[in-house]
Amino acid sequence: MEIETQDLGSACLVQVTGEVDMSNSPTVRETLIDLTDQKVGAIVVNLGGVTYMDSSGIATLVEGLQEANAYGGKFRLAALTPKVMQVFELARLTDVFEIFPNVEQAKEGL
Amino acid sequence: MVAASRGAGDGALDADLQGVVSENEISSLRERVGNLSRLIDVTALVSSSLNLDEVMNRVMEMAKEMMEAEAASIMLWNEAEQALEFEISVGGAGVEKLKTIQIPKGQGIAGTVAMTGEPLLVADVTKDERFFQKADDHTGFVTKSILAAPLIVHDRIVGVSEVLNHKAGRPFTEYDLELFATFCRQVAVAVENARLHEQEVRQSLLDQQMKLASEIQKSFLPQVFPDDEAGRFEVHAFTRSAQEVGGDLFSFEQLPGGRIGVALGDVSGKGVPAAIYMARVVSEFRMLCAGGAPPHEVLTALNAALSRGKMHGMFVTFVYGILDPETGRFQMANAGHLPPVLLGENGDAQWMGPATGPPLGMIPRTEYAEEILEMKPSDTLMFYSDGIVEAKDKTGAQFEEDRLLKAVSMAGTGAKNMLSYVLVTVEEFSHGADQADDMTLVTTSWRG
Repeated sequence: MEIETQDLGSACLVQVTGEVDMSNSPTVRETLIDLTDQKVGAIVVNLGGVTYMDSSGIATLVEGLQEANAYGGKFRLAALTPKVMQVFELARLTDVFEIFPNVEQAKEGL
Repeated sequence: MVAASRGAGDGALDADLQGVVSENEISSLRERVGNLSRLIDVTALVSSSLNLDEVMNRVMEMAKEMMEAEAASIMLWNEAEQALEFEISVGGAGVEKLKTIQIPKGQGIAGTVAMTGEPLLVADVTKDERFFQKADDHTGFVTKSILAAPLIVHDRIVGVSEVLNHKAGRPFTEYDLELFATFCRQVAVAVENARLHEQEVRQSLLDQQMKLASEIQKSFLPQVFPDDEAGRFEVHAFTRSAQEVGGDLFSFEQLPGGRIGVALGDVSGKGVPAAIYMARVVSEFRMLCAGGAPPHEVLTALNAALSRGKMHGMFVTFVYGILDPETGRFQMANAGHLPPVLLGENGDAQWMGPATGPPLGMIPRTEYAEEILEMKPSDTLMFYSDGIVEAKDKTGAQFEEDRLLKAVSMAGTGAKNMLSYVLVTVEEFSHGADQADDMTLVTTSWRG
């Protein structure tokens, strides 16, 4: 798993690639919480390179969302792979997160 | 034992040697024998089961006595800090004053020894520019002469030991250095053994606690499954955690009007945090379902309860149904959990609808919808956790939904029957591979 952040001006882009599970979700959490601690106005998480995500990875995204919502920040997910999207749909996480087909569309209106 | 035999030995030595060698030589020989027995003493400590601090304190008292030094200390290498840190200091300043000092490799006498792995004699510190003044500045101790030797375990430098200032006011000698280095070889083993022993004790305590936690967690789950005297329904369940404790849960509830509640939940993550969250879910659920309210209302209330407080994004996928044994009506609500599977009398297995709302604990004001299944006689319904469909075989391939549906269709009706068949099929598939996730199955059958 690799993670990096990039300032897009209107939003902070978090790029995650590889498999997200119990062993590395704390790293993802650290990155996201670092951003929400700074009260970054908009966070877009690009999951385009994520091949697998377990429930601890999802919990990390939920925490990022909850933290951002707490100060009125935006938290969006982009470019979910079909496999990850299927998990999100089955668990009705599509009701929880703002999900966009790609980063460009996720940036719109920010 | 060692001390007593040494005393007797000294006397015999005197008698044997008198007249043959000079007083000075006798005194020197006696000193060397004494030193040898201290080496034997430290060897005895190697196999003792004392705690680390006690071992280090004792060996430094021995070092101070043997080397006739004013002070002795042990510094251990802290890998995370990449520095030597004082652990024990006897004779000079208390270790508390030295605790804040960190010595990187290559700095000062100790740092040089940590770098080279070679013992070092500094007869007069004023003539050696490597001497690190900071420790003396901190403590007020005045260092004149130093012996420093590495503590080496399996070719790895784990620390450095030093003795400071010969009590007679003379500088330390090459002979002193040789003796001290020999002594420190034993010290290293004693320290390492004590460290390993401490780790073992800690691990064994942790194991005991985990075993107890596992027992306590099991007590949260039904030990006996409800049985219908009239034989109208049958329920069964199986759960196994991937670690000692886990985040899967199930429940059977006897509800007003002779109805029976059936639930399965899967907490995000695994291990201790998931287990603690699971205990909270079970307690809240039991309170909320007791009155017999419809599943979607119970889940709406349970979600509100679990959304209170900061839970670091943790959540639980949860499916809850209530069977009326009179009519076969099964009311159900599904919070983000995998769709249940239904097996009819004709052997047709089919998926139930997907979740009627997101997992519990994510969004405070979520309303869950109800789903109604009118069970036909001999229908069997199965709830399962993702540890079942994600069970892996030796090659890493997953069991997946297709195999599950097939297993259910071949299982035959009846709660106990279906559960056993599916479980055996999963076990056969994953034989020889580690269980990566908690696995739970809950089955309900209605005979009409």
